[in-house]
Amino acid sequence: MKSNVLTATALIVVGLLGVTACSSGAPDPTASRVAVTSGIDAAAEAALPQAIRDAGVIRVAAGIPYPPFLSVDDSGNLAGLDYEFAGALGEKLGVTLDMKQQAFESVIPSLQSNKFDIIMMGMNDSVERQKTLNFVDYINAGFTIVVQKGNPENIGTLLDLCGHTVAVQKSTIQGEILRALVTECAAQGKAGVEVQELPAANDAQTALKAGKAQAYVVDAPVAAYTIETSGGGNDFEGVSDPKNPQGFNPVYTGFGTLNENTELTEALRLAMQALIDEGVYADILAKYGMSALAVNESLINRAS
Amino acid sequence: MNPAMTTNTIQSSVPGGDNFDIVAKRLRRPGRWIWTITLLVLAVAFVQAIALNKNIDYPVIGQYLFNNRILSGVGLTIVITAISMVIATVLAVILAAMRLSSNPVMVVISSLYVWLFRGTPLLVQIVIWGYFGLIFQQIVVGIPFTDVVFWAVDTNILITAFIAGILALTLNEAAYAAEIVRSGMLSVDEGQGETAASLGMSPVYSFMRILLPQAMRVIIPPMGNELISMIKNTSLLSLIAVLELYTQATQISAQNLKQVELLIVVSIWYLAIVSVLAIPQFYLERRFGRGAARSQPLTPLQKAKEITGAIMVHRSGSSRKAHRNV
Repeated sequence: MKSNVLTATALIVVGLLGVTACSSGAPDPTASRVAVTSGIDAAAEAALPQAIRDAGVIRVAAGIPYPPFLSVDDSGNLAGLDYEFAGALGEKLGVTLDMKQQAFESVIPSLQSNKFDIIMMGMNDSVERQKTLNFVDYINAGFTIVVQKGNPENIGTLLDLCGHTVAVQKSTIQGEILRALVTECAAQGKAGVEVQELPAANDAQTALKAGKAQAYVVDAPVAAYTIETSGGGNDFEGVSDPKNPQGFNPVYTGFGTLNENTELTEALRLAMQALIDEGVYADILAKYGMSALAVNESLINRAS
Repeated sequence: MNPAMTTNTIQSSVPGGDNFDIVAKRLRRPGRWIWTITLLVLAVAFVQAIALNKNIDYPVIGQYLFNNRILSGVGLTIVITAISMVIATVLAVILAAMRLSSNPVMVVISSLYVWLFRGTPLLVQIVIWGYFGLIFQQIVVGIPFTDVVFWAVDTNILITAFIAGILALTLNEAAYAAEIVRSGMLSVDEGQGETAASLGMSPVYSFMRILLPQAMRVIIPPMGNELISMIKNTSLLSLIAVLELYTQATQISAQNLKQVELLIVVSIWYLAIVSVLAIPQFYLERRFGRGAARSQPLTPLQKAKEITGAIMVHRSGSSRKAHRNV
């Protein structure tokens, strides 16, 4: 009987070891990259915290996938705007930017618990978030209102959303903006926007497709991808702001680091500036059709 | 049936009539027919509504059913379920034994454990394990209340998403399973333990050799339920980015925006896993039911033999079945 217990314990241990061995066999997506920049930027590299220089890796919390910022193919290879920036910034800093999946709503705790060093999730810079994070801002984009094909509710402006249910991804700036419309809606004698916050961008799209929401509000680049891809382009259409080529309420989007991690923030800022200076930045944006969203200078915490 | 007989029947049903030659008529059940037809029509309409639905892109389902990422997700779902269930069962037996022990400290600790892990939502436990580094930056093995440290490691290195998922599911399941094991133990007649004790068996020995085997009969069916819940609960690990089946599917649909199709792919896989698992449960129930039930349900092999036997012997099959149930 004793030997039975021993065998069982041994089996569990062997099972665990076996699994650990399996799970570490994931492909390394950064293995085969072609250099796109002129190489290490001395000032940026020098600004890196010693711990990161020693490790040779910056751990990046990413939304996999969050097209067009980040997408993944069947073999686990990454692609997308943020992936290209991760590669280019890594060249400038002389380290590897290792992107791993993280749920958006709990991304700040994941930095605080030291699981990751930086956030690359197309995160909007906001005064509220600046209390915890520093942002190295790299694009300036507003949002697009995505509606069902044919725009059945005739939505043309932000205030047309009053009295409607609008789906957004949880913990996004758009939810705040929409809720704040309640006073302007009231001035027109309409009810406020019913904001439906769902865990992932995907869920918000599904809510719109299923008719549970009359609109879906999201950053312009993501909206462009969604409209083009869903149902082969036959599901949705976008409502843009005629006054603003970047979209409604343009805000800065940046790479987030914890407030106390000032060295890393500065290193990233310098590396980004180097990419802007040598034109790699413009090339990457152009490749994803986002040239209109470019910033002219790499700055920190531009939201105010 | 001829008219004369019908008349006869009517006469016989008159109270006080002396003719008892009754022709029994089958009780008419028009309601049963109406319900059967209604349900069948609804079922066909439902199948048709799904099969001809233009909003479901069937080729996409076929394309992703055996996709590499989906298959690796299925594999991880099975691995997580197996590890969690095995460890949880061992823990559950220990917890149940503690709860039934005569040592009050063990009783209290076991009860507190069950209270804590059964009383908080699994979803919350998963998130806490996933971000355990927020509470403890390091995991240390040493002597409590002293500075003696044998081993220390950064929490995030030790508790990866995979380990966090296993921990959350295992510890939660152990709390539920402990109660199932305990109820199994309580179902065994007290005389069994007393007899074992009077024969000089130690409490641990009588627990393992006398009580547990008898309790298994009561424990196995609800544990089968728990196993099925566990398989499906692994999908909650998508919250901490464990790449199991549901996470893989949502990642694929986040990119190709075919949400419904991938949800169907996932459902097909969960159903397939659950269906396969019904087989070992059937045999386990048979094995541990040996001493209790007069007759055991037939295994498919025995059923096949019975059917072929019935054809050969002709008509004797039904009478044999009747004997078995006596």
